[in-house]
Amino acid sequence: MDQARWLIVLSVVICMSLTLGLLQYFAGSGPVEEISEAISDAPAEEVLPALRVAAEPAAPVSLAEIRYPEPPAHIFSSVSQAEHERESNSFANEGKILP
Amino acid sequence: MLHFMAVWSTERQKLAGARHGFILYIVMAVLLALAILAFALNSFKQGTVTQLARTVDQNRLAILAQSANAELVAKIRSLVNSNPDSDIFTACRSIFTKPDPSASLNSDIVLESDFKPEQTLLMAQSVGYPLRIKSRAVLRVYRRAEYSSVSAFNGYLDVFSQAYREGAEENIIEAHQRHDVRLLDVRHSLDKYALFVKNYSPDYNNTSRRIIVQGIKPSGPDISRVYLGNENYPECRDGEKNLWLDLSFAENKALSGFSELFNFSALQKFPGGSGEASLLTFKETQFSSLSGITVDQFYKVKAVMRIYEVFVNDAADGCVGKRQDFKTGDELKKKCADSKKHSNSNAASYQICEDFEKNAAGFDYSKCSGFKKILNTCIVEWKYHHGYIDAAGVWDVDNFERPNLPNPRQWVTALAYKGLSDLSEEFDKRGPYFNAFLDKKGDEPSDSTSKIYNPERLRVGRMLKLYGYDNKTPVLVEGPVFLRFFKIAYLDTFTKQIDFFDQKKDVIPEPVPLAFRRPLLKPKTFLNTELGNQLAASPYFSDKMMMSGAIDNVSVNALLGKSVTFYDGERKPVTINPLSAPAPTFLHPVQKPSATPSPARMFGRLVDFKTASYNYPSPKEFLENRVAPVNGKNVMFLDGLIYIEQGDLDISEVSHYIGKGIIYLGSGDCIIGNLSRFRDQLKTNDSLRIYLRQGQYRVKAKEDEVKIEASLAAFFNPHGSTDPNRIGTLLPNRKKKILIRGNLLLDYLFIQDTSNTGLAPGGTLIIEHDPLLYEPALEVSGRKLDPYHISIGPVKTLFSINAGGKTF
Repeated sequence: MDQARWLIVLSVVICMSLTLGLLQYFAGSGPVEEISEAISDAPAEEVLPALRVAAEPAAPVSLAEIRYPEPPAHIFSSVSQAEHERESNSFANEGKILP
Repeated sequence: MLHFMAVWSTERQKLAGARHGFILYIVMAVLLALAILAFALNSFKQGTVTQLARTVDQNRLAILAQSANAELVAKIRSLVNSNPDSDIFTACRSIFTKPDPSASLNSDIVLESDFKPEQTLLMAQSVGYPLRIKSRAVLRVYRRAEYSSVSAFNGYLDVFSQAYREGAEENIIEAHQRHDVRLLDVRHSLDKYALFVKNYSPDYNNTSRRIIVQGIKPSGPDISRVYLGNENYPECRDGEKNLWLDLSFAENKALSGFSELFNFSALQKFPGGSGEASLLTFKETQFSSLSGITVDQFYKVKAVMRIYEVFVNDAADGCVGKRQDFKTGDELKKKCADSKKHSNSNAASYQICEDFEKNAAGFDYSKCSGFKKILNTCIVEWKYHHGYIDAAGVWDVDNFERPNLPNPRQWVTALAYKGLSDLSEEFDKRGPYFNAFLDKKGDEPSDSTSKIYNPERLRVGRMLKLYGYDNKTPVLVEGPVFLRFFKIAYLDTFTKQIDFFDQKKDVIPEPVPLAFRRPLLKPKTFLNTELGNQLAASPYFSDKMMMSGAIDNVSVNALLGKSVTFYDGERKPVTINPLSAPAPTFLHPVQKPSATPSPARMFGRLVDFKTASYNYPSPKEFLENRVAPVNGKNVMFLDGLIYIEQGDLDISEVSHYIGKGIIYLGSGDCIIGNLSRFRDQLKTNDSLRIYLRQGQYRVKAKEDEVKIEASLAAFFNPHGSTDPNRIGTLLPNRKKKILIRGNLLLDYLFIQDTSNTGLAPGGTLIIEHDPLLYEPALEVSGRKLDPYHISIGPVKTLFSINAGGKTF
């Protein structure tokens, strides 16, 4: 009977190994499409940036076609002494990036 | 043996029966194990495996949601500054156009409510992942720049993306990220100026190097402005520390105000003389019609004294009966006393000598009756001639190098015309005009200080070409700036026979050049006494002194004619007549409130550091981050307000730029060479403004000609220093031509100096006021350009993943 017990244990181990082997075998073979196209080691073509830069020379503006809108509200606002001082203070504080 | 065999057989049969039971037992055990295993696997799938699968799914969804966020941010970035037709473009600018932007702060502006990130979906689809995803973007503006002259806002962009696998909506993932946003209206009042110079400059009349200002073509109240200030005016005695721009007939004659100012028809010359036809106008006036002067002021007129001295010398010679040496003053008095002894007391010669001997006191002949008679004859017969002329008509302004003074033209050294240019010792061989302002004497006799009166008035030439290449494009000039032209005046000769002590004598005085004398110099003579008459050629300027001199009380804007329209400080279109408006037309730059204007030294671009898109401690980081080669050219990428703390910014190797931005350099110089837009200006409205808070522009290029498409500003803060290192300026560095297509805003402008950092001889500094800089919101062919720039920060200031929950 002792011999039989070992056979049982052996069979269980074999079955488990078989099962695990099967699991191992089928692992990663889900519905994922196999990528057949190999990635070439050769340097890829230059990827153009999304922002297409048209190297056109700046055309002189045709003055005859221009219409100027009214100036916005902040135009012509003078700078007061108080604003000057406030800006100087902010320059001394926020203007210092490095200690 | 047989017994042994029988026993073995029996035992074997028993054993076979037991083996069958054992196999069955094993099979049952294996089946049981498989059942247990199946059960275990099933449990594992529904537990750990399910959990694992869900985790994997969540990771996938989180990555895809982030991808969607990135896609949406990229979309917003691509549209927000370059596609005026998109809703995102419009929505981001809505805060600027609100009647009260402050009231609209902290409210959400939805840019996208149900965005389907196509690229992300495509990516998921390509791997067979059944993704369902949507995104949302919200802009929240929470702060407005604190300066009234700046229109800028701070905000942030919240982007959310929700992703789940089809059929598993309960396993939803929402990714949220936030980016700082800077909303900037690049327009500023300084954009209206083609040229703004706070300090005095000696080069506005320079003829060996020229400044050309090409303003925009005026349209209604839109006109380029030029402010020329007089801060840091060289120390001098002169109370009028103004700027005088020399009119040039050749360059300014086409302007409508020119002909109005002089009633101009054609160039004229003085009658009968050897003068040139270079007078803008000429007028002859009967001397006796002039009022405000007295006879005694003419007692020292040499031409009259000379006639009298000739008559007295002739009489003395007549008494003796022979020609003697010609004498004047006390010597003549002695000559008369000696001579009359040889004559009859009834003789006219004797009486002339006696009159002189008794009444003359040195060179004062005013009590002599013979002198009075001659003077009265002159007063009746004299004709006062005067003509107006530009500086180039008087001096050879094209052929001299500073610090020399220009030589007078040949014709103005003739006796009658040398009122400005008498090179005699009396005027230190410099001429009355130059000598008067190099004088160290004050106007009052009691003034004992030893400062030179005002050497800056000696800088005669041709004014900078304010009105463009063709001298026809008007610009509005602000500041203490006056137009200057000159007057040559003299009392002409005549012939008149008079009875002189019972003798017939011809009085033929020499022409009397009316030399320049400082108007305020005391004691006053007839030269600088204000007449009751107006001598000016038109009602648009004043000339009430007989002397030759400068007419420098006319606004330079008078050249624009009878009407010019512009925006006042309250943004209202205003039309004035610059010919009749008091000069200077605008002492200070136009501003709001116009009732209490600030001086130009207060002007500058205030910077709210919180609205900066990028902050760099030094130019090195800026160049590393924002300059890259494109098509073999070094291109600078601009994105809103870029603050660089300190250091010299060398962009002389950067040839182009893309984007819209302001580079604000806290402390340091800017070394700049050829620099242009990379893209079409009309399609992109790309623009660059460089503002130096404490620095100078140094031009550096291999070429002799440099073109810069940008607004260059250098206003040293704090303003007011006289230290050259603390003044914002532009060093042309011997270039032949510098063209700035934009505008130029400086503390101090020079184009010629002794340290050889000015322009090359014959060089030009051209400032073409870019219409798209003057008004970035203008309309071209019905298409309105965009004055705003929205910067979306690259850094995620907030990031979160929410599993199972959602916010929209």
